[in-house]
Amino acid sequence: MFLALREIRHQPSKFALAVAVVALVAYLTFFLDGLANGLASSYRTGIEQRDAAAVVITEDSNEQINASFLSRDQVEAGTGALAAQGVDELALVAGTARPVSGAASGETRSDLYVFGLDLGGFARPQVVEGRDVVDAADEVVVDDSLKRDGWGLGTVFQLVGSEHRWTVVGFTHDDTYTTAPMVFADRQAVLANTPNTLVPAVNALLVHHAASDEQTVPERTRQSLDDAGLQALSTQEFINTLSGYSAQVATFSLMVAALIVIAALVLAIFLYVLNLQKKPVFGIMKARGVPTNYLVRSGVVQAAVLSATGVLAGFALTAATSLVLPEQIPFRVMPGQYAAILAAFVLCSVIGGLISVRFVSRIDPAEAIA
Amino acid sequence: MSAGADRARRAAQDGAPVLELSGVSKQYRQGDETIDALHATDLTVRAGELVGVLGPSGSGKSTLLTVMGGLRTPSAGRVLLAGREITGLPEKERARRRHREMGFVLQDAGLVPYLRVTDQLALHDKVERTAADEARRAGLLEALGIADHRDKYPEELSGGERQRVAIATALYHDPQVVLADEPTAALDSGRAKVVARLLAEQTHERGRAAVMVTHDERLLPVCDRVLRMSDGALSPC
Ligand SMILES: Nc1ncnc2c1ncn2[C@@H]1O[C@H](COP(=O)(O)OP(=O)(O)OP(=O)(O)O)[C@@H](O)[C@H]1O
Ligand SMILES: [Mg+2]
Repeated sequence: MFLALREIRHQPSKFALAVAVVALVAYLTFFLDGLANGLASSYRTGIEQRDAAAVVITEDSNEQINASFLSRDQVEAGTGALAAQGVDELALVAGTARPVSGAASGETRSDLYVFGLDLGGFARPQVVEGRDVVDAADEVVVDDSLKRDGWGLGTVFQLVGSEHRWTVVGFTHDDTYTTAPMVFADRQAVLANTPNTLVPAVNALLVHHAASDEQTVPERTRQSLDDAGLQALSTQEFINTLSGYSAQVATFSLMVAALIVIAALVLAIFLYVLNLQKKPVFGIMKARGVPTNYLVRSGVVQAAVLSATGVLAGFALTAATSLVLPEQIPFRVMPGQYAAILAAFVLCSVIGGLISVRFVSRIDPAEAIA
Repeated sequence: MSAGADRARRAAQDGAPVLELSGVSKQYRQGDETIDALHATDLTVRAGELVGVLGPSGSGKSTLLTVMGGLRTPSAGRVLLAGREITGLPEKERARRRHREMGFVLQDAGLVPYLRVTDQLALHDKVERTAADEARRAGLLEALGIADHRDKYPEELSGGERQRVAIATALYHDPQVVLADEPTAALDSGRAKVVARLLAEQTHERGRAAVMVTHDERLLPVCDRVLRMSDGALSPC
């Protein structure tokens, strides 16, 4: 600690460069991670907020909810099998909405997902503005991201392929599904007014979180679902089936990991060059009897201090940027992930620092004299 | 020669042996060649004694010093520091004894460039995890005339001041023996004498042993005993 910090204090400008490089790469990493999380959560949040432990779809659907159509028998079999846990039927309509009244009316069209479900059930939306649906036949609540398209309370819209007029009476927050806003309507009303290009059907059963902390569906129940041609996916499994989700998460993770490794590598090379220049000084200290592992430890501490400083600076830049970021850009800070990134940065730098000072053990202390 | 030095010399004769070399020799292997850098040597350095080693370049002075200091293992013979053998110890162990029981003054000072004067001394405490001895540090810097420079980096000091810092660093932890390899090589002769005299004073005052390698004959008057090295053979002169 002593040597490491004293050296930095002696020539801060020399180390500022290394800190700046780490800070910029960390900034890029945090920013990328925030965007990745923002994007990933805009796939997920609408599902996650449904308080469901699992999603049941047909086996024939190949794990694609838009290809899952439950027959009346299947709905009955599934509802029966899952009665103990609580279950809701979901009619999902991917549609394009065209407002016919209010400020948004005209040419603007919005792509959205209509979730037809039991508006009084466990999966019901949490209204943050306006009110709950009272008239189930033609009232809906919608995600507040539609406000960016000019929607407001009282907006009336039609879905392309249907004449039915829906009226917005409330807004929910963070209810998006595969990045598109969600509309919550009564299931019967949705089935009665499905656009003519689609088949009115129940596409899935949502399984309520059991009172016990059992997350998924018991084996016995799975068997009866299987007999009915149905399969249960845990909510997380279901999210992973959303098209593009897994690939996107994997791509971003890989990029973040690559950036961390690159930053550590740059820091390690920088420290290696610096340490190499200090070889005679290491020789002198070894001659005086300063233990090799004390010197190595100082080198490692130095790497850790420099990278931690850089990462914190990068974090500050990210925080500042997120304040001025436009709302349309999904950006989400996950403190746990940021902590993990910080730890990964420091760990990689420590390894790099260790490699860069390892040569100290091979310096012959006698050389300082002879 | 001053009366003070005379007294010191007498004291040195019956001081306890601090550094003992018996039958110590060193050969370097270079390809097929073997260089006899140091022939079998016996030497005892006592507490309160400053021993000067004089000799031409390549005669084996540094070799002697590195072997005494436990920096190199002798090819034969034994080196005892404070009665305990250091030959044959693993480097880790020798490093520990160097750090605790020896002080080094190297050519061109051998200071750590990024430590201020006080920190040069503090490094010892940091490594040993001991509390800094402020009084001793202040006393040493005062005695060596560098108290005003305590917050300077080596690059901000003159060659003579650097050497005095090096002496302070070598003495700070009150080592059994101080080993100096051409501590005045980078200095003009006036300054060289001052630095050598400081080394002698500190040795006498604190009753410690010191060995100073030099090829500057003018420094010899400050030594209590002078040995001559030629072609790897050490002899009194
Ligand atoms: N590491 C080594 N490998 C091989 N030979 C060496 C090594 N170090 C010293 N020597 C040889 O040993 C002999 C004594 O060298 P040493 O460095 O002890 O001399 P010195 O008296 O200190 O000389 P100088 O006054 O120039 O510093 C020389 O012939 C030198 O070439
Ligand atoms: Mg030499």
